[in-house]
Amino acid sequence: MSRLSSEVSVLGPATRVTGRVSGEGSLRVEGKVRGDIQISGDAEIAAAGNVEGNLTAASLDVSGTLLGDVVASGPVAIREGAVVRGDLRATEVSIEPGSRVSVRLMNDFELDLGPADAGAAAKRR
Amino acid sequence: MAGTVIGEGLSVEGDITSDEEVVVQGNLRGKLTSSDAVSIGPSSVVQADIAGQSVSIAGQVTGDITAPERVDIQAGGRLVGDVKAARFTIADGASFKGAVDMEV
Repeated sequence: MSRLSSEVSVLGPATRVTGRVSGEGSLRVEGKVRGDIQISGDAEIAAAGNVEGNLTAASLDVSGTLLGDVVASGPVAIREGAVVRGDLRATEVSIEPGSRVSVRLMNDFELDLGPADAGAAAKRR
Repeated sequence: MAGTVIGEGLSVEGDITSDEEVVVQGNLRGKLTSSDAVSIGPSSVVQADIAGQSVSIAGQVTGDITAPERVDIQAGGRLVGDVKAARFTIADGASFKGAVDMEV
């Protein structure tokens, strides 16, 4: 993410976007976005960042605020101090302590009900 | 590095308001307002009115430009729209169609 490539876009802390952001590459939001974000690369919402809108990206790393639904083809990481509300669809989701999260997880994987779960089920009987 | 960079391949449809330097290398349709410098990169296609402290254009812009300091159209840059600025340059190889108001 720290590559100074033109494929990484940054919306700085003193920048506000109202509207739709879409396209190729990765995006780091340090400011405010009101509107949907749809990118092919990784999305990062920095601690001061604030997004009100739906977000589609390869992955998502949130330390700031996100109010909206997320679709990620890869992992979603919700960091300490983050505020997230909406539906999350991703391959894996991690939530750090100290974050405030009100989400519905709609992950595309089958829960592996292994032996531990079978044992717990037997105990309940 | 600039505070805000709209990278190549990224498109913004809507308004951008900023108090820091804005570099557009991608596409923008809407409006761009900054109290700092604005530059439009060579690969950019912009359909927006732009206001900045200074505005530098190397890509294709359709819209009115307002800058208290200066507006520069670089070689290869193309602007269709009116310019309101204290200083205004059009480089050799740039194209421009519109009115100029230098507030004289």
